[in-house]
Amino acid sequence: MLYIVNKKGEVLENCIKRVMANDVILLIEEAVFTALVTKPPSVLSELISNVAVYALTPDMEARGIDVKRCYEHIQYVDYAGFVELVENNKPVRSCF
Amino acid sequence: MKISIQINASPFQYQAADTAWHFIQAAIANGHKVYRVFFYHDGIFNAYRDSRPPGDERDIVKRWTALQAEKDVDLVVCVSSAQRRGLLEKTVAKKVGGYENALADGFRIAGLGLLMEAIIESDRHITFGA
Amino acid sequence: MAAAFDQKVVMLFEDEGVNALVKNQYPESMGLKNIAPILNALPIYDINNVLVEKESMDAWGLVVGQLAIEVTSVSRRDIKRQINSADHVFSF
Repeated sequence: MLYIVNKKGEVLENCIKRVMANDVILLIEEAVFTALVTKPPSVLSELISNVAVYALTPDMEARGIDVKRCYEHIQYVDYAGFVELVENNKPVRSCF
Repeated sequence: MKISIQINASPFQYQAADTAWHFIQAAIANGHKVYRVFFYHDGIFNAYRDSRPPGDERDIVKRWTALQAEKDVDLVVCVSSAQRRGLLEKTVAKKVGGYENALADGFRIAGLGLLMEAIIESDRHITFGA
Repeated sequence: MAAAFDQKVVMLFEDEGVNALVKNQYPESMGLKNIAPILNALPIYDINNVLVEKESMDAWGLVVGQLAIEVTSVSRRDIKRQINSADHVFSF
């Protein structure tokens, strides 16, 4: 299952409560901020290891978020990659 | 892959319309079919003909019009959401004395049945919200 | 609407959404529409499968007897299994 999450805070937390092995999370829009390493740590740092987390690079670039400041397990896609994630995962759930 | 898109948020205030538009461009470029874009709730504001953003900003409404004209993507505005927000189809506006020219080119106004049909016909349905 | 198109529909209420189902709502006091008639009409549209997430009910201190319609309380894990087999997930 693919979760498309566009907000940090409760929306992302409610998603993370529900992910299971082999799910995929895609962070878009404001949610890309949660890829950043922060103190205290972002909710993403606790994610189970078999859940892939992607961040949408145009949203990162728009916000000046440097990959070097982000958690190591985050992967990155552009819009073409976003389309591929949709193609390769079913069902798709938007969290907003 | 056949994809349908739903947009619930108003343009400029939220990024939903932008993300959806870029996603659609990428999907079409990769050979996928975008079956329909359904504008729901405040998403109907993407269809106002008289939107006039400043010259240095992207013109979201015109962008949708161009998408329909160039790539033949079906743009449907939900009639209940539209009527509540003062976006009337021409014949309805004539009848009730409303503004007849509210709907931008390339859009059509219809009911939720077209949203359901799009979901049933598509391999994937993606909602972009506020 | 989906049921009218002969689609198999499961309605799920989770997180704060479970509060939408509580009895004794009185939105008319604010001039708003009451959704109770719509909820009561769901079986007419063949929607007999309304689920609430057990963990959300617990979090909000609710039991099914406090809800306006008949629902089935299902664990998060079991809901996930059902969702995984769905063609589409429609979020509100």
